[in-house]
Order: sequence, then C-alpha cells, then structure tokens
Amino acid sequence: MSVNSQAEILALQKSILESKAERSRSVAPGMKMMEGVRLFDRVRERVKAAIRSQNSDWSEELIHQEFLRQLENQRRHAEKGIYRVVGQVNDDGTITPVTSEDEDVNER
Amino acid sequence: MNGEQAAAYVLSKLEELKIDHMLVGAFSSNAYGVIRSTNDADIVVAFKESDLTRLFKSLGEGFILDRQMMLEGFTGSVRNVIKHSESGFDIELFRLSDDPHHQERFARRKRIQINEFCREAWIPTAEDVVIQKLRWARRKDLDDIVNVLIVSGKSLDWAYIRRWTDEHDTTALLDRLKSEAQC
Repeated sequence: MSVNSQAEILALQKSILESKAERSRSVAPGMKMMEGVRLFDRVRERVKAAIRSQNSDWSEELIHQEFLRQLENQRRHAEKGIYRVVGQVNDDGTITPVTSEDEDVNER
Repeated sequence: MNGEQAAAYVLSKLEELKIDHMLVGAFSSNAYGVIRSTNDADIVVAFKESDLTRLFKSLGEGFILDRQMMLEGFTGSVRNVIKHSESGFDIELFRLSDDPHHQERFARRKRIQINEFCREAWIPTAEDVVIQKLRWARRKDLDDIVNVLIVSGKSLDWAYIRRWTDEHDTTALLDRLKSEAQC
C-alpha cells in the first residue's frame, strides 16, 4: 500500500468518525437510549423472516421458538466464562446458595 | 409487547415500586455515544430482600424469572435475569454491590428524559460509563468506549476518570482508546 493511499484511508476514517459523532451529538441522549432496543426489535423480525423463508411449513409459534433458541445460543456464547451460578431464587424471595465453585451459566 | 415496550414497562414498574435503579450497559453507552443494537437491558438495582419477587410478580404474564443467581467475574456483581418471551428481550438486574466505584457511580447517576414516553430514567454519567466499560474490556465494551469518546469526549471530566482508571489499572488502555478515538 502506498503512503498516499494510507494517508487517504486515515483521512477518510477521520471524516467518517467526525460525521458519526456529529449525527450522534444532534440526537438527544434519551432518544438514543431507546434506539438500541428498537434496532433489536427490527432485527428480530428479519431473523424470523429468514427462518420462515427456510421453513415454509412451520407455524409462527415454531418460528418464534427457533428464534429464541438461536438467541439463547448466542447469549451463552457471548457470556461464556463470565458468570457462575451462586444461588437459586425461591418463591418467597429468599436465596438458596449454590456451593459448586465452578458451575457455569452455560450449564443451564 | 415488543422489546422496547417490555423495557419501558419494567422501568415503569421499578418507579412504581420505588426500587432505586439505574440503566447501564448498551442503554447508557447509546445515550452518550453511537447507537448499537442490544438484546437486553442491564439495570443496577438497590434491592432490598424481597424486591426481586415483588418486581417479578408485578410484571405479570409474559415475563419469566430465571431463578439462577449469577456472579459476574470482572467486578463481582450479582445478576438475575427476567426474560420477556414474546420479544426475546432480556432484563438483566445487577444488585448494587459494595464495590467503591459502583457505589460512587450510583450516587452520581443522572435523571434523563426518554422523549417518546415523556418518562424519565436514571443512567450513570458518561464518565462512569467509560470507567466501568474499561473494567469489562470485551471488544464490544472497547467499541462503546471509543464511540462515547468520539461523541462526548470534549465534555468529560478527565480528572475524575483518571482517578478511577489509576485505581483500576486501566489508564494505559484508556490512553490507547483515546488515541483510537482521536480525542
């Protein structure tokens, strides 16, 4: 890669960053705060549409269960090694401690 | 009910039950940085003994309490998860810990207006978002920090941030991200 093209890439990167920052500064924090979950809602519908297109004989309930299964797998993968189970919540709100030192969330 | 409505509903119940809380995670980094999608709402709660079941019972049908209580390995927070089955959205409740930074972050939290609902919510300051995400330091946390620095870097209280990053030994990482954000 030539020096010129590296400089061009850096300049482009900087201008993209500045334009992203400008757009973000122009939206109120409270408005932006809820936008992450709105994106999730839109993504869910697209993923379900993809599942539906691959499985045209499935019911909506089955499609939803498949979406939840994929999401749960993704969460377990992202959380692997971060959490360990330390207790169980009882109906009355009390906690029963779990004694195993190495029980992992992925074993749920 | 979609994920957005589920999140807003849980927040309204926390307010109604007068359970002290604060939205953290992607909700807070989105407020100060660049928006990214999230499949959960992370909420720090100052729970009293029976508050978890009180909150869960108030939510009604459609919400499922994961009875496992989990300890997070980076900062020692304890987490409970409430699942919203219709949307797939998770509400993750982190009990306010004795960690000195967690205590100060909670004390400094800010009330912010969520425009669409004419409601308000508690979130940490931008400085505390940066400090906490430096401790987690997963790739997505580092991306969030860079985005907060790009958008809000000029208005941050750097002396406060440095006090905590020195304490947490994350100052070198912060400097690297500052350079990445060109701020």
